[in-house]
Amino acid sequence: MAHDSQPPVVLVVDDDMAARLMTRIALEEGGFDVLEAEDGIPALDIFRSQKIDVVLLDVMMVELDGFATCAAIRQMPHGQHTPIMMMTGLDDTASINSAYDAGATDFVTKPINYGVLTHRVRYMLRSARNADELRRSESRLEKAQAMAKLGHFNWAIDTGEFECSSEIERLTGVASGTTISTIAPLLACVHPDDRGAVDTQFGNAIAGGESLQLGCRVLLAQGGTAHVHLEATCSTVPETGARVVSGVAQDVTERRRLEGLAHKLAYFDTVTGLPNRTTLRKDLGQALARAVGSDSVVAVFSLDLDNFKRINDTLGRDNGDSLLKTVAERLQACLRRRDGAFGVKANVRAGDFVARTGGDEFYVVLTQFRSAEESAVVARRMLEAIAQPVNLGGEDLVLSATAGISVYPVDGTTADQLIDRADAAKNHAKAEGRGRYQFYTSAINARAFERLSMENNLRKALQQEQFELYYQPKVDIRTGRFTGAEALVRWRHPDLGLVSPANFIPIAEETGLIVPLGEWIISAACRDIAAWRSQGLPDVRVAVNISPVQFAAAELPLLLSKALLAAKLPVEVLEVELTESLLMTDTEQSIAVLAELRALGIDVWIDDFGTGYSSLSYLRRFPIAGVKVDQTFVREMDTNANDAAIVAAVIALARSLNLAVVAEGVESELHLRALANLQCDYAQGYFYSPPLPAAAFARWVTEHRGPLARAI
Amino acid sequence: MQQLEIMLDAQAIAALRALQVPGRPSILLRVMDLFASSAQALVAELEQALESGDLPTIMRAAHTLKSSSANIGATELAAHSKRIEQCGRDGDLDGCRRHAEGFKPLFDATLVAVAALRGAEAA
Repeated sequence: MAHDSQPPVVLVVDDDMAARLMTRIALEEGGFDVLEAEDGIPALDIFRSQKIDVVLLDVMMVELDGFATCAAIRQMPHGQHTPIMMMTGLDDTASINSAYDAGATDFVTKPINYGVLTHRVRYMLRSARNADELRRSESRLEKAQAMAKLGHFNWAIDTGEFECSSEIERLTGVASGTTISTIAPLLACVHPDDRGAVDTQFGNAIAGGESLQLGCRVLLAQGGTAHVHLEATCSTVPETGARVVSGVAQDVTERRRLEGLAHKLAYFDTVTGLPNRTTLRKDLGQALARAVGSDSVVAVFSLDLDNFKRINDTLGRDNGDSLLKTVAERLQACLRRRDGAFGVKANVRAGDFVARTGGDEFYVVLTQFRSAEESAVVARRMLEAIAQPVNLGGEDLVLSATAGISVYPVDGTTADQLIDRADAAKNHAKAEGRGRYQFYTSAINARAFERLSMENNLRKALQQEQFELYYQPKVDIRTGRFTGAEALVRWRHPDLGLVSPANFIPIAEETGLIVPLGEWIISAACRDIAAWRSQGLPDVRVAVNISPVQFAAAELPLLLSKALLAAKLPVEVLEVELTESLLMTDTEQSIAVLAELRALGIDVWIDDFGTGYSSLSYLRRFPIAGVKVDQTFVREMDTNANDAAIVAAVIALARSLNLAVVAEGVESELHLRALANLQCDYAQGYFYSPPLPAAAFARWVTEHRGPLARAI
Repeated sequence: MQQLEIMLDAQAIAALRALQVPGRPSILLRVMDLFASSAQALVAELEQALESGDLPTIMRAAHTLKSSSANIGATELAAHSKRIEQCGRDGDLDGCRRHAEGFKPLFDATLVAVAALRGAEAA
């Protein structure tokens, strides 16, 4: 089609030069551009190489006549829809028929009325453009419908003529152009369960001349089921009174599937298929709404699996996931057993459900209790169910869980309140020792508040660097010389003053704040050591305490080497103190980290030795420099025979393993002498110095360059 | 003028004149010139084919003569050409020859009429 700004191009094909001339003159006068050809062959060449909007074709030509030329143009890809006017004799009906057979658009009889010719050509061009536009809009519609899986149909009820688009053919298996006297052939594709409803609605629509909208399932000829949305109207053609049902149908199967999937992802946990937190809150809210005004109670159980993180890390996520599924099944089984006390296997009561909100956190909501005490029975049953061995990859694993319970209406009236309080009770139970359950009490709440405020204070303290490091010297008992120090963290709160580590370290560990705090301790120690170096002090070996949480969370060797590098310090200036309980929990992993530290050249000491398991076999496996005997034993060793025996045993044990021993809590010469007799290597305590701020410690080091008091 | 009116249809001539744009070369003159030159060649071709009995050439020449004479309003000549063409189409060589007998004088008369019209138009 020609651009609007350019005149349409007409190709005139006639072997009569005079006729061409007159045709040209007439057409040019009418605003067309004209190209001429004297025969079919050159006409096809022109058509191939130029954009032609209309062709005027004479029939009788020497080389290639008009019919053959017309047919040849129709064979060309861009010649399919170009309007072609054949110029024939008025009386030559055979030619006119042949012209149409060859694909001509129109014909004009000779002699040609040139005054009218331009109008005929213009009209033909306009219809061609309209047809072109229609074709394109039809193809657009078809594409759009195909994309939307949308189809349309028309059914003339009285004549039975049924016309439809290809999508309807696909859905119904009924071909367009079929005659359908009843709706039965269309109903045949509808799922038997939906057929009755569709039939009724169609019947009503036809009888009442109304519209209908319905959803139904369709059994596809190629197999499978499609969900279809159908809208149709029944109308009467005013002129003829004929009734027509016309409508659209859309295959919404994929949309349904995606909606279902989106719903599932939004409201359910993907691992266990249980409701997630959103659904928990919604369904619990509904259960509470139902409970209002009744005298039944609702119980919310918050459950954690003990040590699940470690299991997950050790056994891998797939095993962890299958463990979570097992727990989910067992909890649900407990719901079913609620009424099973009489030996009847019951269904889950309406309103009761299990939810998983992430990690190893489960919630159970039980409704229609008569008293809160009943829920204790269920809690015990749930913990027992979880404690049954699980076979995972051929190995029996025993789990335990800790639960907290809150009860409507006494502990709260909203879903959020009850969930929070069940959590608080669970955390309290954990602190008391895992594998148990705990009802919520207001005392728990107070503690939770205190904890929360402590947590917030700690966060602020980290931001504002309210922490300080104190240093307590270690002395070689044999030489009496200072050999190093232990770095001890202090929290100087702006209002509370110095806060004891015993008060804030456990909370820092629970909340994970110990990780940034530990990082601060390491880099602060390095900063202090570097400062002392620049003041001309000899290198001070500082031992930093590493919390079990930090040991598990951070890449400790990397963290230490980075801090040393940042302060431009040699590796020997740092040592690490770890509690022995840490090493008991994850042996293989621990040995790997310890070996890495040793390879770096960082000595590791076992802190508080004697208070935990003190297993000889463990000690033997760990690449460590030595142990520190807990100050509680040392302090009492001159008055308490048991303590003295422990200290002696620890020292003997360490010596047998070629480990060095530091005695903490050395407060008197008496202590020192006893330790020397036991061949203890180092001493630390008030006898030499209390823990000192960095500046005071630097002075102490300067003043004690020589040997200190010795036992011998 | 009497002869001219018989040979060339006044309506057809009027239609040709209607195509004329003022200030441009005369369409009528160009068309008449084209007819005169092409038709003479066609008539010669036709005569030769009639003599040799070449039916396809007879048919095609008669057809072209039919439409080009119709173009300029030479109605009689067009009708005559058509009769020859039809006989050629039917494979009737004798019929072609029979109709051809009156053809030449008619053609000559038409040429005279065309020449007269040219003269009148040029003047």
